[in-house]
Amino acid sequence: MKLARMLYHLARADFLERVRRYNFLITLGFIIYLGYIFVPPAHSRYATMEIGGHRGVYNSAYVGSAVAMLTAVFLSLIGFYLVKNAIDRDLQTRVGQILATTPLTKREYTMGKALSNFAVLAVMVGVMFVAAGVMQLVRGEDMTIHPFRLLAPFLLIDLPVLAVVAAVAILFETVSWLRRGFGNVSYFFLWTAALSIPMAAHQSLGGHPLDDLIGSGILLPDLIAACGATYPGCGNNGNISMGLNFKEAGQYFDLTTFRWEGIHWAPEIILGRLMWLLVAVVIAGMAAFFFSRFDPAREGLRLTREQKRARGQENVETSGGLAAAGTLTVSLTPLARNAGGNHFARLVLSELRLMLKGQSRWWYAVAAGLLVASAAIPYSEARQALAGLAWIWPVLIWSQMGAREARHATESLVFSSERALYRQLPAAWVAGVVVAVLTGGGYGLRLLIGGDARGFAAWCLAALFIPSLSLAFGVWSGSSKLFEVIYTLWWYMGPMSHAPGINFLSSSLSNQSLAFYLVATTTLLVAAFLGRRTQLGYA
Amino acid sequence: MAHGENYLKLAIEKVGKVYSRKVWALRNFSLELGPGVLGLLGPNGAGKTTLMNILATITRATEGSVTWNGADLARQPDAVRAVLGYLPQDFGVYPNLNAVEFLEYFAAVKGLDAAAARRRIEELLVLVNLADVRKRPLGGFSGGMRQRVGIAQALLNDPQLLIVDEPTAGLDPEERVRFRNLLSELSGERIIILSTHIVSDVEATATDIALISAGTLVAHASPEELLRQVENKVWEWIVPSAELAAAKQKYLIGSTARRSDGVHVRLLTDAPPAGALPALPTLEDAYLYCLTSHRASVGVGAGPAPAGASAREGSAI
Repeated sequence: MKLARMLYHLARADFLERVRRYNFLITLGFIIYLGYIFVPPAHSRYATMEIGGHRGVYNSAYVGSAVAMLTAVFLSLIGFYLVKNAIDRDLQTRVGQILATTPLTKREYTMGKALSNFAVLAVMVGVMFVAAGVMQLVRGEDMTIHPFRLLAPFLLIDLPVLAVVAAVAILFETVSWLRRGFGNVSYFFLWTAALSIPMAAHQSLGGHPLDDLIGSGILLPDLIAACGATYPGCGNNGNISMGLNFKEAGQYFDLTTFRWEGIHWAPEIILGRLMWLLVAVVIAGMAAFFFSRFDPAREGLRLTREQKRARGQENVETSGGLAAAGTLTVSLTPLARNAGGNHFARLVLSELRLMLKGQSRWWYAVAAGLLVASAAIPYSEARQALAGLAWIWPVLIWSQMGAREARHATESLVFSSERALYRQLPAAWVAGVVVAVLTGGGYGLRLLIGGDARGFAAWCLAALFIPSLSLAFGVWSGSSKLFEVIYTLWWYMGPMSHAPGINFLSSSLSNQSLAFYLVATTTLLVAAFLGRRTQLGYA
Repeated sequence: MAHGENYLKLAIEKVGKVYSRKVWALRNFSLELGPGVLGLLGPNGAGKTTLMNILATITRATEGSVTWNGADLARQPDAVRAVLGYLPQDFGVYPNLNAVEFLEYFAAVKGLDAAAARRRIEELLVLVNLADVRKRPLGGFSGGMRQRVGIAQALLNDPQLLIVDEPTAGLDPEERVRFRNLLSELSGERIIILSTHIVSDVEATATDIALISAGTLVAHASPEELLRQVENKVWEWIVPSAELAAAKQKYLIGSTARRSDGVHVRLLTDAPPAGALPALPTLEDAYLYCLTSHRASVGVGAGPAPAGASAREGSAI
């Protein structure tokens, strides 16, 4: 009872702290918008769920199931990044140090935080459920609301998924090397893998329930069977898509419909889903093993070798503070004021040093290897793949741009400097472009030598676009997370999956796509400028 | 440390700052400053940091104006940024940089000449006694060492306007004394604004004092003028422990100390009780007296006001 009360209050305080923030309202607004686009009209340029050119009639069972599955897919990605700051907040606010002195155990703490994460995500699911009900009525294909059919997929598909996501977010926060950028990027690949397993085997009903986190293996076979009953052969060739799929301009999805009244939620299905809650509890409990309990000595384990050496020597440094009181004579050389001086190049070098400082020798070795290989490999496809890797390698360096001042609390120092908006911000951007050129230069050089003008133009635009994206996202979000997620997604779909238009390493980008990158780069730079201008308080 | 400019003037005129929900952190605040050290004193939440942020061009005033040698900061913030040294109350460092690299970065951000900056950084590191650890990453520095890096950063551009907000927070008593001496040495042809709620820091360095409470200027005077306000008003009185509570109800008490003969009480009053002996006033007495008088005049706060105290809201003593 005491434990339950403790967990409740720990989760409650954290939950209230989050939901009372202004950006939570914005998030809920975004969720409502997602609910709206997840149920497209009959004649639409996009589709969210398609089974061989068909879809279910928008009744409670179909809308509830389709929206719940899409919610599971999207919220398991977005939700992770939204809630992965529960422990960090306690660290930043120093509340953690107070909590560390209480009888609260590490397991209770990580469980409580996971519970709070889950509560936040559950609110979003609740909002999505209401949005789904409203959308069923808005589309008007079946005006009868069956509360259980609408609600069951949200309860039994989404909540178990998000319980796991909530616990994994806590685990990532406690494991030192997963806490920041590397963890953000790694989760994306974990999410991709978690999706691909059940998607690949969606027809194999009867598999182990723990193979299918997203729960698509529960609903899709029944949906396909219902479709097949109306349209024989429907879905047999595996022509099923889930997500946001767009048609070219002027073309529309006109999906034919079939009736589907939902599945029977058999006890074994429910039990299978509840097992994920158990998995979540185990993960949250596991996080306690890695949790440092805000112990500065254990935080020290996260320091680089150089920092550890410095910390070891810190105790030796006990002599004096400021220059000895009795013998203080200020003999600072006066500075000549050179108002017209322009030291932009030196500032760019300083920004570059700030970006690269602290990287290990291995980081440079891999970057150099990718640089050389992407220029030297004779096979164009392999070369392009290596060029792609060369531009994901510095993602954690770029992602600091624009957000570094907030992360290290140096805003007041930087922003009170002369011409911070017109010198420091552009210098940071140029340094980001230099990183792009230095890491991806091998491929660019090869394109230039090979006379691939279009490819080289695309490469140049990408070298400008990536730092611009990073700078704008960093300035506006004050965090590196947004860029890490969006850029990794872009990189995965573009250079790695060769999706047309967004593959910025393609030699066959259309003029329209090239123009898009140019306009996007300019827009992002303007956004970064305006964002920083707002932060400065003064123009 | 002479700068060539003969005249430095920072004018704050009717400045107000409102935060969300119409909470005024500062209101109708006016002050004119020339070279010297201004000690900005006030209780927590008085509006000191808000004022510092406005003067350091971190945030804009909602109303009123601030001018630096005639240049309006709202229109020309770079006029003051070029000559500003700022040590905020809370600031961070880049943990992977060492002290030299960190200062070189800020020298570049401030647009200083490379050679002059290098020389200046070496001198500053000696001054703040970090020369021995100059090559160690800042991530391993203690709070006091980081504060000293902050002090060096604030002095990088040989500022004409130096703003230091709670600078001795995190420093040990010895370092505090040294920092006070450093401020005194620096105050030549420049304006230094020292914001703190530690009266002894101000006592040691300030040529001028501004008392601020609830976002308004309570008093602006020299330390001597402030002390004169409490001349013949400070008394030491010995009361039995049992009567202390009653004494607190009746008089404004500066401090108490238990001794074998009873509780030694420091009173601030025009009408001392029988047996009270006159005491030499301190700046802390003057601070307490002015704040309590001000609160009594505007009807804020509990406790007895010093008898005979007069209101001096927003005016120089």
